[in-house]
Amino acid sequence: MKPGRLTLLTMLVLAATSATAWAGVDAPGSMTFDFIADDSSVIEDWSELPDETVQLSATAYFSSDASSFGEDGVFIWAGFEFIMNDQQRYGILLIDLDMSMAPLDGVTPMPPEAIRAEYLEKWGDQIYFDGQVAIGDVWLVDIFFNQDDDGAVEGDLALVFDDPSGHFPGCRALVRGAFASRPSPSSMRRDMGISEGNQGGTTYVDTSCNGDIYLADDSGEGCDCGGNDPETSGCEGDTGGGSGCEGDSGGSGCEGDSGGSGCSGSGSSGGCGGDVGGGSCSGGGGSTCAIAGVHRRYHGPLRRVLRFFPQIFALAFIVLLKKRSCKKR
Amino acid sequence: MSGYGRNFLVVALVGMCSLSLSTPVRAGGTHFLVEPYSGMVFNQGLDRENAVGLESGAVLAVGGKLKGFPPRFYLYFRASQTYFGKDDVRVESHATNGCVQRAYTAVLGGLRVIIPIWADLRLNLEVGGGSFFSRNSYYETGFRREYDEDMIVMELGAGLNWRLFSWLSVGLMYDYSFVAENEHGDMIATILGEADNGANLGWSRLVATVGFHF
Repeated sequence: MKPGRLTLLTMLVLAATSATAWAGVDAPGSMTFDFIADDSSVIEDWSELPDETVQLSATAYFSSDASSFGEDGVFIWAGFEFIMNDQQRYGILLIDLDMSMAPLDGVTPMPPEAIRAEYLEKWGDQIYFDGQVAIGDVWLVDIFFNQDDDGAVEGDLALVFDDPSGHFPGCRALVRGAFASRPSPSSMRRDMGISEGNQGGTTYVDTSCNGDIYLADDSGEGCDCGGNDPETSGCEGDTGGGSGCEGDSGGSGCEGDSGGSGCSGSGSSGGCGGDVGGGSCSGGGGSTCAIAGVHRRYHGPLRRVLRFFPQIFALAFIVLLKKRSCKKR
Repeated sequence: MSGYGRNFLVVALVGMCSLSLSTPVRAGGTHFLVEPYSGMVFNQGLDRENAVGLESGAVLAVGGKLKGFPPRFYLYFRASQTYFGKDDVRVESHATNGCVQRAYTAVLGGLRVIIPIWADLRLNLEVGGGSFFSRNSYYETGFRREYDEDMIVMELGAGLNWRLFSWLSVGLMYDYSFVAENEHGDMIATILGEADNGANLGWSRLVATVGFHF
């Protein structure tokens, strides 16, 4: 092969191998939920939820790299310890979400085809329960998009798991659940100086050398804080902390309602059981905030130089070869 | 000053001292270098996993010297593969053993300065950057996950090199690579209960090199 073709081939291989995976989230986080463990019967309807639940919190990790949905997905691993029947157990919740299919209004749950979830309960190598989703929903409340893996996500869930094979009888339910990556979407926006207080329109923020130019849609659509929000746009105006729709005093992204992390009874599919408060998303006010970000695939100069270092040097190599061959002639 | 800044300063100072003490290089130097290498990689930032891996790779470099200035300057391109073998790690949170396996492919480029020290002994100093492509897998009873990740890294290196013949040299090279972008953590590291969720990754390498000069 001629040297010129060889170097061209090398360049092409380099360009192909250094292609960016547009992963979104790669961050730790946390999850809180009300937990129900029943070894005898399966909850088939939200009205069957028992009154007594145990509130638990889990360590979580959010990874788009690990998602089977690819760069638009996020895989959530959440682990928590509890005691059942005087035995120590560890619950592992594995949820894979296709974020590209998320309604992002905080009220409409994600379509079933965008959710893959499994619940595993074990201690040591002893497995006590392994189940698939029987009923339930996941709501994405807020997303901060990032072309690399510096994004953030926040959402709610209400899921019941059972074992279709019947090997593990009963069910496990995680209701009134809220999850958020750390940093959360709202704190990412705050850190990057993206105002949530702009009225309508868009906000352009250049995060300079390490980041990307981010275009946030602050039109306020899909975010209704009801009467609590003095501003007309977004969900700002509130003084709360980290969640997507702070205003309220609660912790999860779906608060707004006075009853804590209540649930939308208003016809959302299967998930939340109206006055039972079983599901996870917001009450009548629909207080969740989802700012639909549109990311632009721009790079900071330093990042671009670092990424294409090998290619730049390969190019310099070719130029040098050319110069040498010219001199010889 | 940050750790990275300190590293950079040390390398810069060593380089400047060496430049002032260096002897004139022999005439008739070459311009191209192909340098296969092999050695050990030390994992820094993931305390619960295998600390030592094996790496093999090659450097392709092109350069020369400026008139009246002893050091030689090379632009280098480096490709390598690193394996950290299967590692059984105790996961204290749920009293089980997790099996972790990681591999990295590095594609890097940068500048190498070769400073003559004494006779045919030379000091190599490197600074470069590029990408690490990692392949990570985790297994425990009932759960398995694999994922790929790419990271932008920078590396700083130093080493000694002995020119046996005009066309052949052998040497030892040590360098340190660190992630040059914002990292919040790693999923396997979080499952294992690593400090900082494995957010502060770094690798140091000690490799033996054989250089072919032409």
